[in-house]
Amino acid sequence: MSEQKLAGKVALVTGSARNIGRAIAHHLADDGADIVINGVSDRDAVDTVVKEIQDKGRNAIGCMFNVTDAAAVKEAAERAKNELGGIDILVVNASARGQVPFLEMTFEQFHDVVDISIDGMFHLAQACIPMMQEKGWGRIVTIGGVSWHVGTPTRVHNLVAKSGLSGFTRGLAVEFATDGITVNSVSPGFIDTVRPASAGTLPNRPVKAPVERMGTVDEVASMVHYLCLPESAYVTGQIMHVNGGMYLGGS
Amino acid sequence: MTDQPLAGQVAVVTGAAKNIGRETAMMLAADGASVVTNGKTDEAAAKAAVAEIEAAGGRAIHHMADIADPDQAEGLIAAAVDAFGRLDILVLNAGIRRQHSIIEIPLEEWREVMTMDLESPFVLAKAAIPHMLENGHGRIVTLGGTSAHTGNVGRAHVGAAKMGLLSLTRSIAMEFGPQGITANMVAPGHIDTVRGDAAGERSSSGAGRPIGRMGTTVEIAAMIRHLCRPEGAYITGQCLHVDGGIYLGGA
Repeated sequence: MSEQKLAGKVALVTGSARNIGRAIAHHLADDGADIVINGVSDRDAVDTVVKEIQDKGRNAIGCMFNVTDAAAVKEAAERAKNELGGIDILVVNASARGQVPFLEMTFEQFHDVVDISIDGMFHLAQACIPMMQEKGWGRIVTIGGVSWHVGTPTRVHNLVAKSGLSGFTRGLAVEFATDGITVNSVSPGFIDTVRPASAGTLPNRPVKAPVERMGTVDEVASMVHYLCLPESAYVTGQIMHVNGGMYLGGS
Repeated sequence: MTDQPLAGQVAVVTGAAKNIGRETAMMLAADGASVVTNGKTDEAAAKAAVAEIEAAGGRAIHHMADIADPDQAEGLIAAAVDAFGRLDILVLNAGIRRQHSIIEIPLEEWREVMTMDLESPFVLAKAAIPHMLENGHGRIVTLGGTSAHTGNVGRAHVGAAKMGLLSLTRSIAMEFGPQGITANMVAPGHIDTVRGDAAGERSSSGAGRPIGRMGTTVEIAAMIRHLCRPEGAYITGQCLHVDGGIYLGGA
């Protein structure tokens, strides 16, 4: 598109070394945003995406940190402020998946998954919202998932994490609505991604999507992009389902 | 992203002479679609919308039709195919609003609302879908309203029709998803529009308005446009709320 609607904006996308997070970084950069790429362990993958974004003529920095580490999140936000001018868009994408029958799930396994979403959101939102308030403009997009809406076995930790993230999304949406900050969630269905072994095999879905294929990371990223546009300012507190019709929301 | 993601496609927008319909027609045309702007009585306004689209370099014709009359509704779809050779996008925006206590709604008024807000979308979709099936591609977007979800004093008939329309929308999504047709509803909150006298006083939905202003027609049209673009292909059967956070959906 000729006119770049996110020119001058800076986006932090957590978990953006691959898959949906990487696609989001690309979509936002294509519309003019500078990007903070984040990963937790794979430095090479982060550097590769940083290079991809820079090759588009955008500024990008790579920040290795775990979102559950408050000090590390704060440090990354400071770095974004010093090197890119702040954070206008926060995409809370990083999460952990796994499949463990509940009675075999250890408390540590439960917390590992829940903490990435919930503690991570807490630290990220507290670090970023003041910068958005200063500018009177901000976008927070959380990445949910269809699993907790439809119920999926052996993933209690993940369902708790994502449903909690939805409550977080709505609470912040209402609290910061008059600051020009919108907070929404995008809930992907079955998306064709490269999955780490720890995510386990694709879970069996109880329902079939009328769009008879998996979604693409670009289809999820384009919804995130839409929510970040200036003309999406009246959408807040919503869960946007990108799932081929496999779950229709509570309307 | 290309400059004109809807190039080569044909869209019909009902109630396109003013407000949300007009803005939607403008945006789809700016994306490259050839647009049929439908109006019921104000031919000058429907023509003006066409002139504005043409002035911006787009293609459009106007077609006057009272879509409450099934023959005229079918005539609208036929006119689009006659003019442009195909049909890809149907935006069911036209509706009527009336305001009465439930115990004072004349049966004729109840039926008038059902005819306009529920029956006419059925007739139009029924006429349009075969053309979309020929393309192997189609987008149907219906317009709902927040008050149908929250309940609203004085609008029982409108709310009932809109919830019926949501179910029709979902049924289209389920039946024709495998053939490449998506169907979604966009539910606007309080939008700053020019209203006919019959619409009555602006309603208050009881709930607060987190974003302390009314929405704009641009903000509704931008959601519709996203659903119509190629990257909206994995979104179907959904009700997307653009309402400043008044109603947060059923998740």
